[in-house]
Amino acid sequence: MQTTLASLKDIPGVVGSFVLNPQGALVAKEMPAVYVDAIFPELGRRLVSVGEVLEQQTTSFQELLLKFEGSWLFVRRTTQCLLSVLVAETVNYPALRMATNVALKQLSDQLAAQPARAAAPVPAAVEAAPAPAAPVEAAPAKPRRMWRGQVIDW
Amino acid sequence: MNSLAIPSPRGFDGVVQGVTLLDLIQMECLAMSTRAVRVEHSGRSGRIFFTGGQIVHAEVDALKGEPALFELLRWSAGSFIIEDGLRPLEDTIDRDWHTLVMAAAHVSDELAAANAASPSPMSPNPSPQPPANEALSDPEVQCAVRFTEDGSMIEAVGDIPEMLEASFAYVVQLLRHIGTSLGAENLCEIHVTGEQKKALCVLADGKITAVVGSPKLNLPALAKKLS
Repeated sequence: MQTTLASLKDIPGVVGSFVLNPQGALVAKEMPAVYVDAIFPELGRRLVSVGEVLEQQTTSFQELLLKFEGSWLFVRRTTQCLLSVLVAETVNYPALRMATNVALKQLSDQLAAQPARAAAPVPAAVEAAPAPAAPVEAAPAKPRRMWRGQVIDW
Repeated sequence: MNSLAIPSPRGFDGVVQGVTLLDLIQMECLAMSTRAVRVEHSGRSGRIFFTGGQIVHAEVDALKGEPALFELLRWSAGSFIIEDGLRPLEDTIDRDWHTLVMAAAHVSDELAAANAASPSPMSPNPSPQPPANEALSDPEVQCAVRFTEDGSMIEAVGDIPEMLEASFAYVVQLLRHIGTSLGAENLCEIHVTGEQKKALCVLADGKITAVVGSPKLNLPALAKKLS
């Protein structure tokens, strides 16, 4: 998933991207370090609320383009996730759309392959590092014996 | 006329000269009046009814409601009598007075420009009021509303503009928060693409314009016109 998000940076102007599940919880992110994980729970909740309001008034949105001064947030929604891409306003929009088409397909495949993980809120975007192997029970210290200045096992 | 008159000694009359009926209506609305204004012009007579500062009914000849109101507003001169204690038997107008005044002002401007010989746009069965911003006249626009940041509606097209205003007022606030958390300030435009509809919201000069239309709506072009 990180690779998919990282590939969006092939488009000049892409600052970063993140994926939320339909409930607004962060699933993955490829954002500059300044965007700490703590901002995403509220952000996700608000984005889901926006979707609900728009659904009542207009229709279930597939794309949402928010134009701020100097930067845009492009959000694409599927039944499985919300892909958000933060870009500079100078971005090539058609290229961005095409790149997100590809990314959405890949993300959908990846999320479908791990449904339980996609549904559960993941607090941190960083791919979970493999759990360290359980520490081996330290063997009781063997009594050591020295012979002519060398340690010898016995 | 279809009104219930309650005799009252109060009130005054005058002649509208140099002041338009629109000015008089605004005065009544701002004063939160509950009464009627009888307007006379060239042997014709009509009434506009106010309740709590809102226009609730108008009648002239066989016309009632908004068509009657706009017909009265076409009169360039006349006399008026303020009738305290007069209530309509029915409320035929429910749009906010700001919206009505804006629409009336626009029609008045158009009439002045197009010459008095053109037919009145306020026929007994009027089409929707032409919006002040011609971008909203796009045939793909189904509903639109323009309002201030503090929630005062300026202009509306289509049904239930209040609902559209409320929705986008909330959405704008939510999206501003999202922008702030991402370091993005000054939300300018919101483009929404759905399966069956598209929507656009443009924020400029302290005003918010929200538009909902068909999937054929060209959002970038419309945004450019509205900005």
